[in-house]
Amino acid sequence: MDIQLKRGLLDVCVLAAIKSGESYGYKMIKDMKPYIELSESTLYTILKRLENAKMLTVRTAEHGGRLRKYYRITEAGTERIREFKEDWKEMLAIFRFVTRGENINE
Amino acid sequence: MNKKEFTKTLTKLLKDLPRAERRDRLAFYEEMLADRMEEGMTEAEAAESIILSAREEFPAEELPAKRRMSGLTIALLVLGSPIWIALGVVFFAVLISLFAALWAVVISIFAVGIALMIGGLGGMVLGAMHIFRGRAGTGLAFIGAGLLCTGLGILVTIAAVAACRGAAKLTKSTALWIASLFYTGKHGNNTGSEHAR
Repeated sequence: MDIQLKRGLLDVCVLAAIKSGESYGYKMIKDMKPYIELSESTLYTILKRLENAKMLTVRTAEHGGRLRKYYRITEAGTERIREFKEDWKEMLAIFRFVTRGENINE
Repeated sequence: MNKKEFTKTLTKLLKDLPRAERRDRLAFYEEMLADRMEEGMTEAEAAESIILSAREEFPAEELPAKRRMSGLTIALLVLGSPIWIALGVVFFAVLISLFAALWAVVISIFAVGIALMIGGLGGMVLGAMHIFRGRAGTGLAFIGAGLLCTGLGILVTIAAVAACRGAAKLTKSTALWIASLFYTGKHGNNTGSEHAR
């Protein structure tokens, strides 16, 4: 898959993992697992990128005698998901056109 | 693998990163380790799977070997410089002298052609002078010889022009070849470092 496209998709996946409430790294990996397997290293890179783009905020909180980072989606992050869904509708229409008359399940 | 070894291995893997990012990443991996263990994974299991993922993104442990090799190469280049610099100078000196010889031949062909033409014209003038002085036989012989020389001179000059073109072509292609030794094409960097497993 095109690297730019994949990068954009992974960003949206991570945003979607925190769209309904704040979460932490390991939980995000677990939540995404049935859909997409993400390594810790990749997740770190994406979280940093999203933080720099102000699509999420980070807070550190104490958990079981140690510190844990929690990530919360921002308005910009929610907007990014909205954009993705709009873009995807267009992509899907193009996909249907490209594969019309074919059996795409083979 | 225990926590200490885990941190040590990761620090080594991340050693090329800026200090702040390395610290940040290390904290992230350590949080992951603690969370995995909280889920019931053993320390060794959790540590190994995280190291594996870090190694995918930072295959840094292979770098020192490469560096040592390049260090060795540099040392050889420096130590061998009396030899390879001398060899290089000799190579270029030979190349330059070969081209000097080639162009000398081309220039001498030109000189022969032009000399024949000038000599031929001179012969014809001399022949005309003889005819004016009443020595028609000698004059005609001079004019005939002069025409012959001029004709020959034109032919040689045409050959010289062709030789000049050939030599120019050869010089140009050799110069380009030498230039290509110093300017090799640059390859694009591999930017993709992200991957979902």
